[in-house]
Amino acid sequence: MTELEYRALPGGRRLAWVTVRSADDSGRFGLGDLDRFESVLDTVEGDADVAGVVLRGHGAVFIDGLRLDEVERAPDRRRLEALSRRIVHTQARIGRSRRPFVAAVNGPCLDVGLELALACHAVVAADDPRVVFGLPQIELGLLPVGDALRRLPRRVGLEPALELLVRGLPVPAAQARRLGLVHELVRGEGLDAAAVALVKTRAGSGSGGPSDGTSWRQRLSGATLLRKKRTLQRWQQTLRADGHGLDAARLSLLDVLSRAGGGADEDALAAAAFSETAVGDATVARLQTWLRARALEGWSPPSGVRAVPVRRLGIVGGGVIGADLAVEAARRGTTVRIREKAPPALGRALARVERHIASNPDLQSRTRTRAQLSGGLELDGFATMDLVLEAVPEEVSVKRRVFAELEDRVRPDAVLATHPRATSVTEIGARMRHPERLVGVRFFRPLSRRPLCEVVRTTTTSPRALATAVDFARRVGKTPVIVRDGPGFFTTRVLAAYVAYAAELVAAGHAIADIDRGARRAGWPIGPLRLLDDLGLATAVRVGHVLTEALGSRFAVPPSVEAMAAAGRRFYTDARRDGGEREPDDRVHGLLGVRSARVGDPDELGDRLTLIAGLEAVRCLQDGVVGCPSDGDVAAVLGLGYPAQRGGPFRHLAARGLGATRSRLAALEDRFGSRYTAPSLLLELAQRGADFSSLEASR
Amino acid sequence: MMGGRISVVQTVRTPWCRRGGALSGMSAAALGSIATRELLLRADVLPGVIDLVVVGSARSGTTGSLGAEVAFGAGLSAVAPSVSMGDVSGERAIAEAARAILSGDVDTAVAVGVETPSDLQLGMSAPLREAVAGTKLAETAADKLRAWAGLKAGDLRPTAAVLRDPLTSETLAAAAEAVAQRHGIGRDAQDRYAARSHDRAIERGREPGGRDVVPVPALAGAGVIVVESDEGPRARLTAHALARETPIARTDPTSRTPASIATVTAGNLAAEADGAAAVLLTRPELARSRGWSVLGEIDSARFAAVDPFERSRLGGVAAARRMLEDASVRMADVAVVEASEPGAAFVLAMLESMPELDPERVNAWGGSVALGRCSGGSGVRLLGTALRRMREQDAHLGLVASGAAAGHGAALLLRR
Repeated sequence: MTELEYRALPGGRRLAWVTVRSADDSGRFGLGDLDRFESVLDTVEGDADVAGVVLRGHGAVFIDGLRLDEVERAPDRRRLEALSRRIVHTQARIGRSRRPFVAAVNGPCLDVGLELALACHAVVAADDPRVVFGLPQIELGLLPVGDALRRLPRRVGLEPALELLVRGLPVPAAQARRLGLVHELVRGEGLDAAAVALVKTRAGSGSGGPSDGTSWRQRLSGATLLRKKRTLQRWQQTLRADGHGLDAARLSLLDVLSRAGGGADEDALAAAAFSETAVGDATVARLQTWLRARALEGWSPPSGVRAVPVRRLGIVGGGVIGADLAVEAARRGTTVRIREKAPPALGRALARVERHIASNPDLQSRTRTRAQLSGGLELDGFATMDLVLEAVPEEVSVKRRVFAELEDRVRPDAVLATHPRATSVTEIGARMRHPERLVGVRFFRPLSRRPLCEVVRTTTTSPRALATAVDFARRVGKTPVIVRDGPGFFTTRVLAAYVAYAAELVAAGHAIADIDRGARRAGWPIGPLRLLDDLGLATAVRVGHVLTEALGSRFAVPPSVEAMAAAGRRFYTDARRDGGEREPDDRVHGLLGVRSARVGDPDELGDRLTLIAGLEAVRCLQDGVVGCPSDGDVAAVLGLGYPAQRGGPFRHLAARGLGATRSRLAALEDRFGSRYTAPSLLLELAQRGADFSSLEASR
Repeated sequence: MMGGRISVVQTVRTPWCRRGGALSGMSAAALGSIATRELLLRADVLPGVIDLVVVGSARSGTTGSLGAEVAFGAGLSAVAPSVSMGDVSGERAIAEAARAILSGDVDTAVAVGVETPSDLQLGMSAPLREAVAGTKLAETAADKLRAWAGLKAGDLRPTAAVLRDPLTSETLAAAAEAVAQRHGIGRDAQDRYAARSHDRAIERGREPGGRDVVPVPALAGAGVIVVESDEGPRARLTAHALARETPIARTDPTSRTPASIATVTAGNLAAEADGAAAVLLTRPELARSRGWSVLGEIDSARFAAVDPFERSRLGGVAAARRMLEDASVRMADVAVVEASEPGAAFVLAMLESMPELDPERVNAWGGSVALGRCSGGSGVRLLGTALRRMREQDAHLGLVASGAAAGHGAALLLRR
């Protein structure tokens, strides 16, 4: 709970020291915390001896954001509107106070945390990499809950404010200082003293002295209405070009900004916009994904099973995933050794590692990371590793050789992990002396933007190996979803069905641009054909073979596209349009023996592609690969980029209605064949009039 | 004598690369860290068991905390002093680490030797230095100006120090000439010895097993190149080919050796090299109880100071003689000798001073003339090579003998 203490100031006056501490210690601010905070404010305001107030977070966070479970659970829009009004009101109370309020920012200052900091008369922050400022909740479709839409442009200028509001990327303390969000930056140990000093100077000057007055920034930027209008229009255009065009929250945010300043009741406007988007389906879907992901991170092994703490990690294979993962782990204090057999490949891996490290602005973090990470050509030191992750190219014989080598080398209690693309983990570990120590882990590219780790459990995987993999995933900042082993497990199956269908659409004559545009309009972050280019068409063909053999022809890439892959061709050229986007290669259709590109409706194509992905997800559930629909939803959104505003394939199908989906599938099957054959699970549920939520409890 | 034996668990070294070569982008701290880390990985030893790191370097490292930089960079949190004693800095680091173990202060220690001549420090010319100092001291503007009056344009050029013996002011080449003349060692003998050094280094380099060299990822522009082998050794380099080299004295205006009798060339003198080497040391009983296999043991370490004007870089001979005498070991019983090899002339002079020493036992896998002279790294490399040679020949006794500038010398007695 938020605590109030007093510290003596010279002259017999007192300083109120308010430690904001969420009731559940999560660093998240809920309704109960707001009640408590308001009552603390009442106490302080009613106390004539209080000369000033310091607001500080508890532990290593200032405030991480709103309690999103409360937002998601809110019974109706009015409740959220009231919450928003109360926070705006609290900000106004702080701003109006004649006593100086100083925010001492000791950790992440996000969402409602930034709102409160904006309301304070001065902000002092610790110069620490953990201290970041921002409004990342826009990623979940939430607008600022408080008055940030007004306060932020006033404080930092319209353009930088839009960067924070629309992009949602938090900025480090030093940048916040440059923007004017932070008045003083001090070393961590000096934070409290600096806050007290600021209160003293401000209290001495006689008034709280709201610092939000007209600044030179305000005068310079966005000063005229016309300029403001132009800036907002430019941002709207950028958003559409970026593919965020569908993003209702971001557009609504720009809309509120453009209407503000017109004399309307602005508090009401912001609160209405916040609550309206918060109850929108797209936002609720994202919130649910987020909350389920947090729940998955809370997974704990059965009693008596203890994860091996991964202090030393060996990685065999220095490809993109191997190198990126090495940096993630080393950055968090794990000692990492990469083994890559070929010297040029090792050089490439370490060059990639060094690029990552060099891009980190924090010297301490760079120095520590470099000290923890190394690479070599042999298995030197692997006998001391807690976990060894194999990430060599997908070739069963090669992977088996690696594990044979590793089994001779590693400690008996070390856990071994494989990073397969499509081959089942059981098959990879078939020759191992101790297959119980093998577990599959799948990370996704780009690692920094795909917060999923698919943990693949075989029938022999020991609980200890499983717990270790889950623990490791969390350690490198990923949400673990446990799936059962099988060819393609969950993510690769869904993705392979989806891209194979996209390839088939090209072979059937649809324009490359139509297919990808359709997918992006449906909410995928990248079109399937661009994705195929990025992953490598040849790789996709191989994955298609593996899965076709095991599961059926729906994963097969059409022969004409296979020929194209063999010729090393791609769907896009290297030429870029004005917007920086690559040009589709017009000659592809000629290559595939299709006369002219068929004109299709991109939205319809996108919807069909998304449906194909959803059907494969249902088959995975039917086969028991994913334990429950919500696991599949989280994995698809976080790992594959399944449209986030739909909340994942199962939620999406449920929203379409299973009955309606069944009839639509029947129609599509008639036109396009067995790809659209409804999975029996879906038929059965539709028959019963149930939806996927009935399977949730079987966990 | 040290008063006890020390187990050598493992040694590694980076490739020796010529100045301006593949490792020239690496700092001494980075190279030392890599050697240290690879040492522990090769030995499958956790960083936590290391109590002490001693880093020896003749000139590298600019902060005075080279040891700490090396240790931290290798992921260690150990006390890490740096020591400096010219070309025997590596032996000094080994001895310091060994003594700390014998005294009971620590159980397990790493000794590192490193030198990065590529990362050379530029200095000011003497007139420029005087002008700068004069400006600081001057009280009037006129005096300040006057301090700069005598300065010539050439004085503004940064100076790269030509390495000279601090006492005798001799360059390495001049010292080699002096030794060659004093011991009557001709050009031909030096060239033949140099060719032998290359031959043996090449021959050894072809054998992949049991090597102490670890690959080093070196920053090269935006990329990383994995450096795997020594740059110095040249295949099929004959004495005949070496005879075509011009004596250094002929092009060095400061040389006191008449060009007509000069014998020392770039071919029979060791070129400077970048590199680092590291050795893991512990008590014999601890190695046994932890189940570590060991390469061998250090029986004694001995240092000597001889007259730098008369016995330049031959201090290793004196150190070795006294050490063997104290240990009651006859030179004839020492099957393996690794000696510092700053130039062919020095080794030939040493052999002449120790007639009981069979030349075939000295530097049988090549020496610094072929590999390059890595001042701080030398001692640890010689230790590792000597122990590996002993293992291969199943020899019981080995000797490391090194000479440095300013009359210093070092010797290690090895057993297995």
